[in-house]
Amino acid sequence: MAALEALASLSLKGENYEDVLNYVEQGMSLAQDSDNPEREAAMLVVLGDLQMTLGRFDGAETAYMEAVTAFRPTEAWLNIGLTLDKLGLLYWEQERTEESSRHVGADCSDL
Amino acid sequence: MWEQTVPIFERIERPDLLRDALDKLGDTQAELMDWDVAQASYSRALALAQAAGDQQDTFDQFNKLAWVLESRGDRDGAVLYYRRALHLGFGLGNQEQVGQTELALARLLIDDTVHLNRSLQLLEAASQLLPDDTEAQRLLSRAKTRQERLAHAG
Repeated sequence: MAALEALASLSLKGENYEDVLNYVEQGMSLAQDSDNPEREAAMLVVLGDLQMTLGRFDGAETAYMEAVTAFRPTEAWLNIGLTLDKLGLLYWEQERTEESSRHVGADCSDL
Repeated sequence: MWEQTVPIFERIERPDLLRDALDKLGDTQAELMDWDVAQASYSRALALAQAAGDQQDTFDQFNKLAWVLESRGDRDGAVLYYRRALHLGFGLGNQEQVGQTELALARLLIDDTVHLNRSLQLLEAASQLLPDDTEAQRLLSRAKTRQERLAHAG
């Protein structure tokens, strides 16, 4: 699964968007079958990156939010923080300044 | 989001990511004109930049803090931070950045008779570094006119 994530990321850098989508789908399917929410979340982040690259902000927002939700039970704080940072940049890009600063869509209230 | 990422990066002890998050939080809060949070965020980012020995980021945070203080009407505080930024900027060698800081500092001093000469010197330096900046040329002209008037009056 880590290899699929790496391949998806490399394909994104190489602008091979169809390949990215294929790797993400395979990775998410495997992650769900093996009950690995952290890996599933990581694939959602790549999916969000793909949507951002294509300018599909709504899709990217959904993917990142789902990724945070999936990371949350695993307490993968670094990944949660980095994904929230991506969400912040997404909002900033859309001039949604209030949300980029304060939005509390993903529950991290027990920090 | 960045209000959420700050405690996360604190928790996992990643000062590099924390500094970046504080900087972004400061930027968003400054845009929202929440000066207290913006100032506090930039101050913390500044301390982390200094601790990391990152001179460029320290220069940037000095300038951002100065701008926030200027925006909230703390002229003396703004002058202090622009001076610190300028002191550091000379060593960094980025002419554009130095010129912009000189211009910002001169703008604060231009209406103060006591500091008019200082402002003029800064504007002359900024005009050389930013030859295409119309604001620098305009302020330089204004400072020269004021100085001439003061000389005739005195």
